[in-house]
Amino acid sequence: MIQALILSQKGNKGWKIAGGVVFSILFLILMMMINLTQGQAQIGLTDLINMVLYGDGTAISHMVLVSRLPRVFAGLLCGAALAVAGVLLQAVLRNPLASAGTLGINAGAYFAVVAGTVFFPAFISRFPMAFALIGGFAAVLMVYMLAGGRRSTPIRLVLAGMIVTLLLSSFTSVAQILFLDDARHLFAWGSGSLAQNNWDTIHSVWLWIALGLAAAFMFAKRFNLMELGEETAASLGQRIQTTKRLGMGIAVVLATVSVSVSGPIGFIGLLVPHMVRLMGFRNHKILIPLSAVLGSALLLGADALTYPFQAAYGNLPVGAVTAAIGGPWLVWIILRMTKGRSGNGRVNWATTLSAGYTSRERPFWLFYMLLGLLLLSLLIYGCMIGGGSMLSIKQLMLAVSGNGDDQLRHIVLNMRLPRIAAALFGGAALAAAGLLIQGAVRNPMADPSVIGVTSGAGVGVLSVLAIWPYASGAMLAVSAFAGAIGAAVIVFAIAWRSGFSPGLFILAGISVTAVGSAAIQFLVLKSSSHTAALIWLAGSTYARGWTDTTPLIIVSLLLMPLAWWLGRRVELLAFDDAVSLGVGLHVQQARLLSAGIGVALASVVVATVGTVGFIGLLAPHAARFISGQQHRRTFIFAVLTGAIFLLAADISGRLIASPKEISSGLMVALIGTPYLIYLLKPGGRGGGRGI
Amino acid sequence: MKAKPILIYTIFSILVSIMTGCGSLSEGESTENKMMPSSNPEKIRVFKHPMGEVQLKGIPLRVVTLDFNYTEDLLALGIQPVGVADIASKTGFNSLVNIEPGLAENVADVGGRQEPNLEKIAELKPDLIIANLYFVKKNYTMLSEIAPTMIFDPYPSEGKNQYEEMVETFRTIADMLGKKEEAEQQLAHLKQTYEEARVVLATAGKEDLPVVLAQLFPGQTGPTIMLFSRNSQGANILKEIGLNNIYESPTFEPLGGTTTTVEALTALQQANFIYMNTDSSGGLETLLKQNALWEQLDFVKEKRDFPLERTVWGYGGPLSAKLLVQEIVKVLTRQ
Repeated sequence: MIQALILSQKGNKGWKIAGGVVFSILFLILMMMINLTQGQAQIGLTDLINMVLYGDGTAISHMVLVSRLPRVFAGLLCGAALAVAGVLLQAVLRNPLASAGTLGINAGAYFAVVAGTVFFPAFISRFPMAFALIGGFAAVLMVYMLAGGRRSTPIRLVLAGMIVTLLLSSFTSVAQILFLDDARHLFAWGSGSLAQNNWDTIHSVWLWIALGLAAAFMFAKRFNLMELGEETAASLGQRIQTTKRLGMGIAVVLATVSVSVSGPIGFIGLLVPHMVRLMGFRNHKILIPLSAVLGSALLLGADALTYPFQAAYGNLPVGAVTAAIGGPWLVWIILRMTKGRSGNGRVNWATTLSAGYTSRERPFWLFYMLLGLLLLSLLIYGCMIGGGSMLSIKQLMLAVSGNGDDQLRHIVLNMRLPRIAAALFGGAALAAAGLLIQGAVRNPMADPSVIGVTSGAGVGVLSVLAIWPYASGAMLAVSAFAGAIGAAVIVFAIAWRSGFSPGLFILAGISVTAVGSAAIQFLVLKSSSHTAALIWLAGSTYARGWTDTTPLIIVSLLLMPLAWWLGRRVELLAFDDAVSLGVGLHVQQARLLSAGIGVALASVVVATVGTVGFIGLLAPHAARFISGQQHRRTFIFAVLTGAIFLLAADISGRLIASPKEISSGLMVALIGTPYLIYLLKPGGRGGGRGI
Repeated sequence: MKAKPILIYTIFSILVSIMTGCGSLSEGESTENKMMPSSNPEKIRVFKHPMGEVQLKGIPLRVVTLDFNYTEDLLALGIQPVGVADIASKTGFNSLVNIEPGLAENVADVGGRQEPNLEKIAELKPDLIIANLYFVKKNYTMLSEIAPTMIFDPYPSEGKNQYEEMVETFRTIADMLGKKEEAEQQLAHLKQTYEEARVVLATAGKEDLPVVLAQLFPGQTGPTIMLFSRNSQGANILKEIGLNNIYESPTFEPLGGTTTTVEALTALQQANFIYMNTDSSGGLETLLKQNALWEQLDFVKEKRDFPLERTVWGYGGPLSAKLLVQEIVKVLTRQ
C-alpha cells in the first residue's frame, strides 16, 4: 500500500515519505516505552525487556498489563483520534485553524459529561459516550451557526468556538464551586488525563475510534478534492455537502469518544496536521495515517512529561502539557502563515464589522435610551431593597439618609451600595472594553477574555497565593491586575511583530490564554489554596466594599470619557487599513490606543470582580442593533446595556437560591445564553447570520 | 409616572452613596467601633491571626462559624452558634461531619462556605465570626466590619502538624469564648478515648499494626485516592492509638495527603488499608473494586482492607477525632 503510494510520487519525494513514516513510527515506539516505565511504582526498562522476552507472571508484568498498558492505549487512541479529527475538520471547513479544541467540541463533550456526573450519576456510568456525543454535536452546531454558517471565515469560526468554550467552561466551573466536595477532583480531568482504572473504558471505545480512523482513511480521496476548493471539487463530480457532512460526522465522533476517555485535550488536533504538512505531505492518504501516528506519539510524549511532576507535586493534567507546548507552536504557525506560505491555502484574515449587520439605525434611539435608564434605575432600586434581608421603602429611606437601625444602615450603605457600584461600573467598563477591542481587532466577536486578560489575571493571583498563602484580598487584586496587563502586553507584542493585523491579534490571544491556563494548572498543584483562587477568580460582585470598588470607579471615570471621545477613529478602524489611511487616520496609533484603553478597563474589572464573560461581547452587539455604527452613540448604549446586564445578574443571583449566592458571573452566562440562541435562530433578528 | 420620582431618587442616592462611600473610607474605624459589642467594657483581649488581629471586649455570645471545623469546635464546647455556613446541603455540615451533639434546629444557615451571605450574617448581629483562611480572601474586610472576625489556617506549613493545629485552634476558640475548662475536659476525654482504644487494639493483637489511612474521591475513570501523610490529623490520631502508619509522602503535603492512584498502593501492600468514603452513592467503592490492580493487592487478597462504615470527617475537631478512633477500632477488631 505504502509502496504504491511512494512510487506514485516523484523519486526523492518517495524517500521523504518513507523517512517521515519511519521517523514517526520510531518516535511513537520510543514514547510508548518511556510511558510504560513511568508511574507510582518503580519499573525500569530492563524489567520491561525481561517481561517481553520471558513473559514471566510477576507482579511487575501484571502491573504493566493491567494498569500501564491501558493508559498507553488511551494515549494511542486519543492522540490518533484527535489528530485525525483535526485533519478532517481542517479539510472540510477549509480552515487551517479548525480542530476539536478550537471548535468547542471538546468543551461541549466535557460539559455534558460533568453535568451528567453531577445530575445523573447512575446514568452516566453506563453511557458516558452518549453524553459526550450529544454535547460535542450540540457545541459544534452552535459554533457553526454562531460563526455565520457557510459564510464563516476561519477567524470567525475560531472566535465562535472560543465563545462557546468560555460559556461552557463557566458553567463547568460553577458546578465545581456549588458541588465543591463532589467535583473537586474533576478539576484535573477538566484538562485531560490518560489514567485508566482498568481495561473497561478502552474495551468500550477502541472499536469506535478504529472505525472512525478507517472511515477517514477510506474517504481520503474525497478530502483531497476538498482542498481544491468547492467549485473545482464540484466540477470534478464531488458531492460537496455529502463530503462535508461525512468529514464533520467522523471528526465529531472521533473527538467526543476521545473526550469520554481522557477529558478535553487541546492542541493535538490543531498542531499535528500542520506538522505533517510541514514535512511536505498533502495527500490525505498519507496525511491521515501519519497524523494518527504522530498524534499518538505527541500525546504519549506529553503524558510522559507529567510523571516527573507527579512525583514532586501531584497530578499535572496532560492537557496542561499539550497547551504549554501548543501555545508557542500556534504563534509560530501564525507567523509562518502570514508570510503567505500557509499549510492549507491562504487564510482569509479579513473580517469586517459590517459583515453581520446592515447599518440599520433605529429612529427611536432616544426612546430606547430612556427605556434603558428607567430599567437601570429600577434595577438599582431592586438591588437596594432586595437581598439577604428585604427592606421596605421606608426602611431604605431611613438607611440612606443615615437614620434608622444601625445594622440595616450598615447593610445598605456599606454592603449593598458598593456592590451596586461594582456591578454598575464593572458592567459598563466591560462593555466599553469589548466595544474598543472589537474596533481595534476589527471583529465583532472579540471580547476582553479573548485577548488573554482572563488567564493573565489567574496566573497573577495564583503565583502570589503559591508564594504567600496569607496574601490579603487587596494584594490579590493588584496581582490580578498586573497579570492581566502582563498577558495583554505579550499579546500586543506578538501582534505587533507580525504587523498588528486583527486576526493575528486574536490568535496571539488564544495562544497566550492557552499557556496561561497551563501555568494555572501547574500553580494549582503547588498551592494549598486553589479553592481560594477559584473563589477569587469566579466572576462575582460578592463582598465588594468601597475599598475594593474605588479603583474601578476612578479608572472608569477617567477612561470612559476618553473612550467615548475617540469617536470616529474607532469607526474608521472597521474599514480596511488602506481606506482608513486614505482618510488620514494613523491606523496603528488609533488601534493601539483603542485596544490599550480596552485592556486597561478589562484588567481593572478583572481585579475587582473577577472574570465576568459575555458582557464585553453581548452589550456592544445589542447596542449596535439600536444605534448602528456611530461610535459615540453605540458607546453610550453599550455602557448602559453592560451596566443593566451585570446589575440584573447580581440581583437575580442573590435572590434565586438565598441564602446561597449564585455568582453574578454565572448569572451573566445564564442570562446571556438565550440572547446567543436568539442570534442563532434562523430567520430571527440575527437571521442565523451570526454575530 | 410612578417610576419618575424613583428615578430621580435613585440617581440622587447614587450620588449620595458615592460621596458617603468615599467619606467612609477615612472614617472607617469609627464605624467599626460602633459595630462592636458593648456588653462589658472590661479589658480588651487581643487574638492574632494570619490576616491581622481580633479585639474582644467581654465574652462573645453570638458566634457565626463559616467552616465545619469551627462549627464542630463550638459544639464540642457546648455552644450552639447563631449562624453556620452550609448546614443541610448534600455536602453540608449535617451530612459530611455528622457528629453528636448536632446543631440545634434554630441555627440559621448563612449560605455556602465559600461565599456566605453577608447580609444574613449581619442580620444575626454576631459578636464573633470564625472563618477558614482559604475561604475569606474576598470577604474578610466585609466580615470584620460586621463583627470581629477570627481566622484560622487549617493547613499549616512545614513544622506544625495538622493535629497540633487542631488542638491549638480548639483551645484558642475556647479561650475566646471563656470555655477553657470545658476544652481541657474535652481534650482529656479524647486522651482517654485514645488510651481505651490502644488497650482494645492491644488485646486484639493489633498493637503496632502497619496501617495506611486513605480517603476516596471521585476521579475520572476510577477513584482518586488520598493517602494521609504524616503531618495530617488522621495520621497523628493513628499514632495516638498505637497503630503504625507506614505511609510517608516524598514531599511535604500542605493539605495533609498525597493524591494518587491505585498503582501507588502496590508499594504499601504489607499495610492494613483503612479508607473513608465521602461519596454516599457507593459508586466509588464499586469503581475501586473494578480497578484492575485492586484484586491483586496483598491486603485485598488477605482481607486486610477496611472501609469505614459511616461518614467521618477526616479533619474537624475533637469530636470528629473521637469518632474516627471509634470507627477504626470497630472495623479492625471485628471478625
